[in-house]
Amino acid sequence: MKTKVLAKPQILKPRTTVHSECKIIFENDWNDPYEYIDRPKSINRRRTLSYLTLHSVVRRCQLNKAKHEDWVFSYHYDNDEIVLQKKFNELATQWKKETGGYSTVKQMVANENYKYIIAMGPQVLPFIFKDLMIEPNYWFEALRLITRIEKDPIPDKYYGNLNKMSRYWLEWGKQNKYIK
Amino acid sequence: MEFPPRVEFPNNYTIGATHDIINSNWPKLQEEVNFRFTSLRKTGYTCLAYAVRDAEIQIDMLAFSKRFDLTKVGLKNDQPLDHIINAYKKLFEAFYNFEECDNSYEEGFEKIALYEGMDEDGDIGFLHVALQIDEVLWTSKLGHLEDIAHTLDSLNSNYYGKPVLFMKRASNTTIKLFNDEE
Repeated sequence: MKTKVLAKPQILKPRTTVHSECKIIFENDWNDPYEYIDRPKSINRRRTLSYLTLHSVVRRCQLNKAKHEDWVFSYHYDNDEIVLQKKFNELATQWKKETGGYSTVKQMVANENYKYIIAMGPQVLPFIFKDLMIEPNYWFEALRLITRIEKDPIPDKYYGNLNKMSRYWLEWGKQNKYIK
Repeated sequence: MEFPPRVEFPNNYTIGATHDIINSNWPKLQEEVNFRFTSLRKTGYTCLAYAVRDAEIQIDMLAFSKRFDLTKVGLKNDQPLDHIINAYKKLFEAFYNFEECDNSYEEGFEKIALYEGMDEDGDIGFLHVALQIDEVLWTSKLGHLEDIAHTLDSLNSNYYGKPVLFMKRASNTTIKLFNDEE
């Protein structure tokens, strides 16, 4: 894993230019430094963030190289566990506060704080599992995208049952040594 | 006796829908005389499950797409899932025997109001559903926060949008809410 140690997380603002057929670049420290994603024409600028985070992150490595660098996101985090835990707690608290009244999972996971947590990568998994142990919550989309597993551990018949969904993910976390 | 009954918060209880959150998300609630909390904060179900009183499932388009073949009711199973009001209308018709109606109170029927607005992705679609109690009062589950009693328009906001579709189904029993069973 390639890491850059900075005192504080640094998030670069996206460039403002948007082309009709642009590609989007993510820069982060938990995967290939540059990854490329096709942006469907039908997806407008505001939706792009959510589209990228929720539906394309897993697939992005497989896609072609970019011609235009329209969006650049960079998430560099200190490797220190305490710093990471603090940052995670801040984002998770804000996510819960901002989305506590939402009625659909779509809205809960579209929140910016949730996206930042996903962008922090695998190093945040122990914190998510820890939070899940305290109280079941909609961490499933983040877990699925960060772990990059093709089929999540939840049997289809239990989708919608928050407690059971949490239980199956916690079991997965134990098996894969993310829970001590 | 108020129905649904006003909940008494325990001394050490931390309110989920705080004054600040209500002020920010549903500002009209602050002025609503009928507004009251009717349950403690619960994460086990959302407004959809609350409105149709199906505690077995946290009803959501994603959950439905995993558990049922939505193509049979003209919807998609694949992502991105359809969150427009008409998609939810089809769900309620297909799985819960609801049909479209107006927002008047009718004895022998239970009615729900589907709220539509713009979500964080910039999409216009389903944001909330409330259940009718009587001529004036409706009841809702605020996401993962508390259940409340309110009037129809007092939840109108950017957060929930506004009610655009009403549906009803025959009811042979008095409306019974989750907290009645506890």
